[in-house]
Amino acid sequence: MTNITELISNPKNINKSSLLKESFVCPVCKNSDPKYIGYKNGQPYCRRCISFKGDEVDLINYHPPKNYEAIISYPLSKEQERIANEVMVSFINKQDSLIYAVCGAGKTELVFKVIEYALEHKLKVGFAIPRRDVVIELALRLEKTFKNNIVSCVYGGNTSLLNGDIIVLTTHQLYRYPTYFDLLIMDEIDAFPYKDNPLLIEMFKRSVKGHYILMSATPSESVLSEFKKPNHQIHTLFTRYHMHPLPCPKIIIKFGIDKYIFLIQKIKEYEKVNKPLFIFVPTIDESNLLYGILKRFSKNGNRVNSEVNEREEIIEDFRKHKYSYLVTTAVLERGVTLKNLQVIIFHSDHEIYNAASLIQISGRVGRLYDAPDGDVYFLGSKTTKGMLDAISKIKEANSHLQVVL
Amino acid sequence: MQLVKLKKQTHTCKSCFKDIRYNSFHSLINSEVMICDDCLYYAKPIFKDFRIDGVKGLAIYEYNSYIRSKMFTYKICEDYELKDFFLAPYKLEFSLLYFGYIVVPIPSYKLDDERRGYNHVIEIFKCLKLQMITCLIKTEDIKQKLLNYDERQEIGKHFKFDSSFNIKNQKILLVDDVITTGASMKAAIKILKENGAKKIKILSICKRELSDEEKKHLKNVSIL
Repeated sequence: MTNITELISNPKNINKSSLLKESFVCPVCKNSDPKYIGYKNGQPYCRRCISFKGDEVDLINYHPPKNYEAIISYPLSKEQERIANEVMVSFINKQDSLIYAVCGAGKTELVFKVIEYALEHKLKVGFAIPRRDVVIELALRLEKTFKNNIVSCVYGGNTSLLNGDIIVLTTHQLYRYPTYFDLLIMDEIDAFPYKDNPLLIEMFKRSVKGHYILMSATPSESVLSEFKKPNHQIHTLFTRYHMHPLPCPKIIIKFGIDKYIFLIQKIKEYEKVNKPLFIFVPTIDESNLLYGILKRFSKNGNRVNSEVNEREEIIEDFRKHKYSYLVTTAVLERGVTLKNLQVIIFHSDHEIYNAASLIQISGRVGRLYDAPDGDVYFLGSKTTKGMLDAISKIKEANSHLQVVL
Repeated sequence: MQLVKLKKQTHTCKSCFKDIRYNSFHSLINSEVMICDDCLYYAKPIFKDFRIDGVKGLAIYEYNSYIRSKMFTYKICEDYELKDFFLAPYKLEFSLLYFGYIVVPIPSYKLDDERRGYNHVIEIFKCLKLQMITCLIKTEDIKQKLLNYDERQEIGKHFKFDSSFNIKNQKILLVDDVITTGASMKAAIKILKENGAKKIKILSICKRELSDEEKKHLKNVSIL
């Protein structure tokens, strides 16, 4: 016991190198954890952000935007208009804001007004999203809306054009823009790989010069608590733009072979009325296994996971109604809008599903004006806390809708 | 007291930054290398034999995407601490296998070395603790990455032997990080034989197997 007290009281026992390690803080990613610090020729360097190296944006070739007109092809709902104005006001008042809106509320349209305002005042606008597929899709959408502006799309493998009026980029490319953006909008903040990644969060903070707007359907507790501080504003939108309630998931408890019989019944049922169906499975192995079983009963389907290379073509075929069902992992959890889509979550009691991801998946259903409703089934062998939480949160959001109506 | 000490000494893997658990004899005797078993497993060492111009060679890894990304972080991103990842876990075996040999690294592009602050090949093979001489010199700075298959075959004319070293009747171990076409190896073997080396062996971290199609498009495909 005496030895321990000696060790604590006598600071000489701590060797010099550990002191050096503790005093070094990475200038790029603010890391001071000694396990990420290496030594090259006696000089400490940070190993956590070492792969984030490349051309950074140059300010010399920067041209301020000349036009700032947003052309929105369809009118916003009253609620959307109200939130859009609120977001703009809080940006003018130099506040950071969080848009907390349900899936399919039309989050992207809410920020067009702010972008317009920022472009008018010759500010630099960025739009960051963790996922690459969503970046490409959003860039096309922004190009349609801001026809007279240069929308540059930056993601891994496409980094030739770094300058632009509006920069749409993945979170991994944010290192190219140190203290650059006056307005940085970030969508899907709870998606992999940005979620719980201290490096990317640090990169995000580093690239903001002015103020930021976060958007999410399922913000975590830590984000919500951060926005209780002064100069932070939360905007909530619990109604979808077509003013229909979110479809409420139904829990189905089945065991063993009964699960598969239920699936096959549902596939046949939806095939008759020509409605596309997503079957979400927890793992890649499971997707291959389940598709192997299902294709014996209905050949009109396919499977998608992160290891399938021709993913985009399969989804494109699915949009054209070539397939009647698709077995998929969480790769299609976000950014998919299809008419009349129905969803079954297979093994919804699996440990990878929490309330947030279940809400996200349920939000795939009924996103369009002419098809605002659909079925969501949680198919599992027991009820979990995540499933119950998800349903209670969706019901809570729907009760807000009742107040508005 | 000992218990406290044991708890404090958790080592983190230099490659994946997770805590190392020593669960094999091999990882225990190589404990100072600080690479965990999982990382070694993913790298898939195969210890492949090959011959270039009749000279026996050994490549540790296949040129898979995992090794390629690690090599990229080490060479291009200049992560010096990763030098122990490639060879050091097997250093005991290799220093026995090549006992009495003199290590000769293939000369590399000088500007890159200056910018990096170290020569990447020399740093990898330092852990063998064999005698190392840099008797091969590149007279002109050429990046092989930018050459195609036929142009690479003529790389030999830019190699020179530093005559201040004497390698007569010596056993030479030629080392390199990646062997792509083997052209620079062939040139180096020729020069070393002319200067009276008794025996030559090759040790490389990984070796690429090129199909005819790849040979054609070598220039367009970046090596790293």
